[in-house]
Amino acid sequence: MKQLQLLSSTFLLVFLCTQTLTAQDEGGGLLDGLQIHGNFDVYGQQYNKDSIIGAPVVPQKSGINAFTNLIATKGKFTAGVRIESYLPPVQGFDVRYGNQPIGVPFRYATFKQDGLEVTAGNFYEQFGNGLILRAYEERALGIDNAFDGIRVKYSPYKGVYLKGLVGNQRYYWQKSDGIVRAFDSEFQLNELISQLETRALRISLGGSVVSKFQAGGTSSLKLPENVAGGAGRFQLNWKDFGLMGEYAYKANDPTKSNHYIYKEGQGLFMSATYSRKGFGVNISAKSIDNMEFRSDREAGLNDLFINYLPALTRQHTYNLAATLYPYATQPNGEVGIQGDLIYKIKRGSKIGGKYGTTIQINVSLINALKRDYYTSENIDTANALLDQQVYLDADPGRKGYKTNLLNIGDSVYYRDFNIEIDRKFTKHFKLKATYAFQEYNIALIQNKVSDNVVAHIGVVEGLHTFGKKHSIRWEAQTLFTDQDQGDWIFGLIEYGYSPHWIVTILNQYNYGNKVEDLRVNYPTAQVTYIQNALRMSIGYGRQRAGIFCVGGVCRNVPAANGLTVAITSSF
Amino acid sequence: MNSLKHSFLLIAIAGFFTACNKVDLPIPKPVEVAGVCIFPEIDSNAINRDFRKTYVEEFTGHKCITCPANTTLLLQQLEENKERMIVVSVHAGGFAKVDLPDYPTDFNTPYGTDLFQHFSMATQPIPSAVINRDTFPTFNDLLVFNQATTFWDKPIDEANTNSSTDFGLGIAAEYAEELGNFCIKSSIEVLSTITGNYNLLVLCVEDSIIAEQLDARVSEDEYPKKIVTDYMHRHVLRGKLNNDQSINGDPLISGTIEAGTWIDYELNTVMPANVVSTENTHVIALIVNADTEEVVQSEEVHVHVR
Repeated sequence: MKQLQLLSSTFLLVFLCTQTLTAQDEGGGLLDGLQIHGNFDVYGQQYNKDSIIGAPVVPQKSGINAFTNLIATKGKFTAGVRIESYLPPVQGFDVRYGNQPIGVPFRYATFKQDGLEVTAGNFYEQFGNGLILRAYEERALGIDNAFDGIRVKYSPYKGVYLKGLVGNQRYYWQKSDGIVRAFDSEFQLNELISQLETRALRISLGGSVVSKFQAGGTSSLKLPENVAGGAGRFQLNWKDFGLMGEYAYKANDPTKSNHYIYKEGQGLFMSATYSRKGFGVNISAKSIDNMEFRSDREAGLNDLFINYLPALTRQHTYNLAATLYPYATQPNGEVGIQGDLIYKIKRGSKIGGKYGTTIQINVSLINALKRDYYTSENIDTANALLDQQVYLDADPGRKGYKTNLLNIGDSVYYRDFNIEIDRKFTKHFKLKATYAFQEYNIALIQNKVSDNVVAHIGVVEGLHTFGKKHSIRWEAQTLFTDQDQGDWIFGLIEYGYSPHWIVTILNQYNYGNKVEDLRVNYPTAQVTYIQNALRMSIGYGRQRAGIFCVGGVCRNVPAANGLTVAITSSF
Repeated sequence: MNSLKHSFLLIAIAGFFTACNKVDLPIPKPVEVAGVCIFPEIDSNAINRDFRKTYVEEFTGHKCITCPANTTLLLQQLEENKERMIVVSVHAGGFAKVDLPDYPTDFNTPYGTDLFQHFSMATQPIPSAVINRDTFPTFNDLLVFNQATTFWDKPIDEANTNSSTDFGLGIAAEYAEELGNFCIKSSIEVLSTITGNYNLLVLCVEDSIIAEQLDARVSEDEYPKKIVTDYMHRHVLRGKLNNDQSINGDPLISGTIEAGTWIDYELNTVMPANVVSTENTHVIALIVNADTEEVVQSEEVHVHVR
């Protein structure tokens, strides 16, 4: 009810503003120069019964997620609101979004002048790579850990950028119990020191501190109510080379997900790049231990993260590679390395062909962090003992285990080797071929009882254009594995009538499932209409159960059968 | 001057954002006094719920010349099935008597002697073995296995193939050496609704005791009279830990009990006086069907000595 009142007030405010604007426009009034813009995003699904694919029965028969942003700017001031509605939430999004059908969970006002920026209300923020703090919205995952409080940004000198904030985090339609206080400083040395201004070597240094407060609760443990962390980072660029790194540390932070251990957390992220025309290479590595940092020690899933641990895996876009075995970052501990190489073979050369050929290679290797537990050699037993929250002779400080960031464990979490070759053969035909090898610790990531999944994925994509308006795009994909659901094939054909229409038909078939009854087809058809910023699509068919990940953060996508509608627009 | 002001301001702001409580001892160590147990916790996740473990009682004696060779075979079988088997060596009867000067060590225990008599081992060749204290229809309904009947390896193999049990059984044992507190806790999960009378029997065994043993396999040049003076005795019964006099332990269940019920059993006792090394002691818990005397589940744990 409160939220409905707030919503009515918001509309009233906008209405009055508009009226005032009209009334005073002629006389050059206070609201001269006021701009209102925003966007609109609706995604809905209708659900039919389909027990063969394991589609859950949805009593409401449909789900709709809708978002509207309204932003008003005038000179040094910006204010905005976001109206959200879940009637009820689309399957796969947390049901707690449905606790309130419609409301305004995000509203803010910002004032900016002379290097000072003050925001009151809701805001997103990131320090460095996010190892110690990142508040962001990822609508496709149902993630929104925005702060509600006050943020101040200030630049006292050229090249010095300071940020301070305090606030609670969004927890669906509520706020977190914990309060987060954070401060970040960044020094662009080439701006700060005049002698370095024109040097080819560009240097940036940064440091952050973050502290959260949460009352101790009723645990038998003496819980730290204030938990602090910090991070230091650097970035160097010299001609075609780049090197950056960040180290983060977190003090004792017993939480439900780390089995209430009092061990410090650590994270290290390094990345080196070299790029020149037609060639680029990047190598990144990270090691993290006990770096899950949330504003509520009891929170789980993707809730109330203060920090973000960058993914070191490729974000695949092709259906089978992207949604069957995508890797989810393990914030309690992992060690990984990723290499990317892109090379464009010159056009007109023997190998490159008339229009050139691009080759992209990506490799990622993620392993467990090796740990020596104090109470038991068996990790499950050790964790079970820790969960009991009793005094442990072998580990009176409840540190849990010993390790260091270079202690690479034997357990393979993820392997991905993929190569993509993209070549334009004629003015009207382009072909892309991809091969990926994946090894995936399905027991860890999806809690399935299975050995690691070893999958070989092949994809061929073609694009034919016919004149300026017509195009046909097609995809053929296959995935071979002896584990989990066995082999898959996928086919897609898409007709584009530029600039407004796209018609897509696709099917995927789990022909290799060991259970004959589960060798199921998942056909889908979709029509999309585009008009300037407006995009509308309507589809019908089966949606396969899977996992959807963005940047190493994932959500489950349940199976579904029915109609889907998506509308986005901005103004 | 302005820079100095800003620097102080920065330090003050940073201090505000670094509030942190360091906790060195998250939970105080429980105060322990002599005679009062602080019972150890049982990891309920680690409890075996998948099969009935095979409990083997081997009747032997230090003067039994064929025993060591058969024990070796039994230990091999145990090594191959260590997740599924529990072995206890019961020294009793004529072969276990103290006989000076060659056999000074007394491995006899009152409970071992009770068992020896209970199974009428005086009428059986030694070594003999009883498996789950149960008869085996596929082996002529035999209860006692030895060279005169059927050797025990095949019935043990058969017992090791079972894949269900009515009970999950967990056990933990701690011995506070200075205070003399021997605290044992057992947790039983009833996995299917059952009716009957069941007892819990708790035994103490000591592993790796070095003492004399007559052994047919050795040369008399090396060991005069074939007495191996540095023989390692494995899994030796040191006594029953339950306080009652029954051969089957304390009553645990009587009547019907629903699946999903958990029963905790706590035992505050003393370490048997015949134990040589507390570091090598194990505690074995047995759920015994009091009507049939069959061992329906068993579990073993190494004693945590503090």
